[in-house]
Amino acid sequence: MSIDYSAVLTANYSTSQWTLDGDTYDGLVWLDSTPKPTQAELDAQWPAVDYQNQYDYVSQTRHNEYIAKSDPIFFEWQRGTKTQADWDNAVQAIKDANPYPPAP
Amino acid sequence: MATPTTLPASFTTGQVLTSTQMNNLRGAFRVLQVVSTAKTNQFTTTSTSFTDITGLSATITPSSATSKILIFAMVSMSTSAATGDSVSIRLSGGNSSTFVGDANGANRIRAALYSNNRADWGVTHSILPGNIVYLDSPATTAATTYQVQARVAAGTFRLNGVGTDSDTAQFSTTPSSITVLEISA
Repeated sequence: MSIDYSAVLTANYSTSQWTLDGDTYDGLVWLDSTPKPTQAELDAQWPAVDYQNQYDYVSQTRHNEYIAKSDPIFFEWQRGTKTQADWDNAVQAIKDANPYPPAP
Repeated sequence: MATPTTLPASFTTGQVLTSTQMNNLRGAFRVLQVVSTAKTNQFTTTSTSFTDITGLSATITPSSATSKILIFAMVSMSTSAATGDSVSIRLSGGNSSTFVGDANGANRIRAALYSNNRADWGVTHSILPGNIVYLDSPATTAATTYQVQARVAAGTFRLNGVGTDSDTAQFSTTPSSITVLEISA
């Protein structure tokens, strides 16, 4: 499994000062007064960060799809040219096409 | 080596140039050397003071103290997306750190480039290509390193990738580079 150290650092150490060249632990320069996290500590945080990033991506994708596809059907339902079932089906189709990742 | 400053202030009609003068003219305003560095991997930082972007520098040793150094830097920059997250970019080396905007008050960061990716401004997933072009007069024949530096106001700066990067086909990675040319006087 490839660990995205920049993602871990961005998610969990955004208030500390550091630089990361490339995406290996060797490229991490700690500029902060707080202790530099060990590679093992960052590795351990990766599954939760990866899950959250994937979750956020799916959430944003669903949001965009609702605006583009299901919201118009909602308004057509309000005008009487579509049914609630049409809208429910459109929403469900978006959810089915963009499932949330399994929790770590 | 070009030494145009030794040429006469003016020539007269029909005057025949000496070989020295012709060689000086031939060498004037020429590109004497070029140094270029490309950086294709990512660099991220949360530093709130200007810090070197590792690998985005070019070192040149002017052959004459009268030479000019023409700097081209292309910076692929992006930031995290919270309100207030932003990055400022500048050069260091020679006199290049002076190539920044005016203070214009007491709080603004004086920089050569600036970017943010504020989600509420609708630019969350962009990588902005920033270009710095600066003509330096380092007045030295010592090796001079021109370095691109970055600092954030808050959040995270990412070079060569989207600030809110994740490994999806929605996003791209991009390169950055710095090229310096020695121009004879």
